Amino acid sequence: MASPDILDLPEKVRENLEKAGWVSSNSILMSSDHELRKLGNLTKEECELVRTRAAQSVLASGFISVTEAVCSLKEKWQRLSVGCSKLDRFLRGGVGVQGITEIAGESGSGKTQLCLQMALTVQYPVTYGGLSGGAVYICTEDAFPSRRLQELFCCFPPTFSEAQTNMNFGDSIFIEHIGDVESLKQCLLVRLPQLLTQRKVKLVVVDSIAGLFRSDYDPGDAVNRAKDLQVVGGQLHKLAEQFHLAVICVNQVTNVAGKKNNETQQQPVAALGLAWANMVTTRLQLCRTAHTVPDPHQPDHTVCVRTLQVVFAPNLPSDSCHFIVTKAGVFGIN
Amino acid sequence: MLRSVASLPLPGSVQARLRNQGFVYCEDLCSEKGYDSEGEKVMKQLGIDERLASLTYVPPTKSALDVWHDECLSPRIVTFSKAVDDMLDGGIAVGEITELCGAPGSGKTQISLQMCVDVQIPRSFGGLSGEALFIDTESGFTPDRLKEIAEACVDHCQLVALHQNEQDMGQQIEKFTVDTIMQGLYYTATHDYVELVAAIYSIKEFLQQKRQVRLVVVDSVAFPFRSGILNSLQRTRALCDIMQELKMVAMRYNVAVLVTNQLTTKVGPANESRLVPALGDSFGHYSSQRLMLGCLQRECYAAVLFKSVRRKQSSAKFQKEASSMKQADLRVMVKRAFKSVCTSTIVVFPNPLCPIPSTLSAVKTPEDTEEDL
Repeated sequence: MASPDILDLPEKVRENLEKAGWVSSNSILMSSDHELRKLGNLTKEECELVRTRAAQSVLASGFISVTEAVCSLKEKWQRLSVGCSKLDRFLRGGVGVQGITEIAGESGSGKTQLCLQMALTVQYPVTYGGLSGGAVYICTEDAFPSRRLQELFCCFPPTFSEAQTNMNFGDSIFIEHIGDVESLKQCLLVRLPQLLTQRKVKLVVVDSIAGLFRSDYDPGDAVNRAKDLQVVGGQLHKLAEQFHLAVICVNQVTNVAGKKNNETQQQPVAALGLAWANMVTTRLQLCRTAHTVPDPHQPDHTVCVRTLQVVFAPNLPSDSCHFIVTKAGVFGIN
Repeated sequence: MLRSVASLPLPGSVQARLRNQGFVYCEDLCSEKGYDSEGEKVMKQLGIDERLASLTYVPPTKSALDVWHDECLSPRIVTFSKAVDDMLDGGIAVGEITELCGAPGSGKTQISLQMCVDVQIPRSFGGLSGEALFIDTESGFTPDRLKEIAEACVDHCQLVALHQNEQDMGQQIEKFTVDTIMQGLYYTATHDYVELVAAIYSIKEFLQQKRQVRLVVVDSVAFPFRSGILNSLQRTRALCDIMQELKMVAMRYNVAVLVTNQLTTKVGPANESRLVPALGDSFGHYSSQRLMLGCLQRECYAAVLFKSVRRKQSSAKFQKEASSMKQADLRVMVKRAFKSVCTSTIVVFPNPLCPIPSTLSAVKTPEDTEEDL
């Protein structure tokens, strides 16, 4: 927040501004021309100058060409591997570090599995598709599946050519259980930023966002729910931008009657409605299919084939691919 | 006609002195040949000799015919979707605000990126040879996607140049590459509404340096204001301020302004809910063209012209797909470029106040009842 002193304004203009009580660039930007001229006793030209200077001090980076941006803002467009080369290729490198990535799906479709796996891959060095940072896992539905995580530790051995063999995955996964919306807001607005400044965390998982917001509100209280969703979503966006985090929100699905080939069909659509969907940058949807394939690890067993569908994403085509969940994690199949 | 001195915006004391000395009309002070010697003396005394010229200045007039000619000649930025272009009279107009609204995943960011590339198409190909400015508030911008669209566009232009075999085209196509497109798009990311306001107030100065810029994109204008902590009164005021500024920028610098907006559910008096553009009713006044986008099914999108100063309400289908059919791998090329396949499916909805076709509400669920304030 810059005071008018650093805006490099003529003496008289600055005095007028201070007298009228404008001490920050933000307040100058948010007041109308009329207010500036009347209360600040400024001429039209001075008013414009003050505006421009205030805008410059808030938006320090200015406008840069994309060629420059690609170099200077490289961190912004990093991607986090999901831990399987096939799925990574499908997602063009994995999950983005900007905005909110949502993983929606019915129960048992593999949402938590995918998130757990990313809590490990995020700790890989950048050259291996990770972000070499820890993970924060916010549970709202069930207890954190620590046994499954332990199982995955064995399957994702941190074996790199560099001398990083004794990396301990468990040390940098922070787990939090939250039961209601108020505590979630408090956690995201106060405690999480504190943790992020102290520890190198590169992934925040909220499993699930729907659990809290579907239960905590009366059916008639949709306005407040929308507002709370906007606060939570806005804060997640802000943290992602500030700390270059991958933010993943798990969501449930509701069935909507849709028409396909002139037949009415039940179609699963991510829950929480438009208010939440507007906050989501990339929406992925998981579902189980009726097909099974033999388990690559235990040949006498079969595993269910699931699909991963891109519902919308700024950089991916709406498409789907198949994957399986085995003892060793989530894998894409052809 | 003689103009009375009393009609000049001069202080009363000055006017009284002029009257006392017998100057009743402006023409007494200065004749067509120049200043009257006596009048000149008086004006010098009163210190208004230089201002009189500006005081009596009459702005040039323009007939409706002239305006119409200008409008016909004003360049358009093509969307590369025939149906959408037809709907918009050949593309997005410069000097105006065009608003794209739609549910998540309806292609708002895709069209925005496409326009940023299209505005840079060289003149000989019917483009504007311009540059573009992109203000990203939703973190929806990815250089990878821009590169893809740029590649498709360059390929397309190369193909055209090959067939037309004109010298102009051949020269200009060499300077039209993915690199120059990336160089010709200016980018900034804003993280809250104050930064967005700051970015919009910085446009003017930026455009004074970069005269080539012909398109300003704000994607999206809704996001920072809806997730912010402003009350509805402050929000409306801030929005009016920035839209006014954008309108001014569009007109003064003759650039096209493209803003994207989200949708919200509005509950009607009979408790029925429908999807409307977000940010309230007053926001709708600022855009000259309002286009509603929706996803009909996979890779088939629809656009409804919601508001236009020129056209009646109509709708079109467009498709995001590959620009060339040579590549075998369909999966990679699905989203490569917008291209129209159904050029003849411009459906004009009969009732101008018709609700949006239900198929457009791609993500609407029964839980949608929130009302925008």
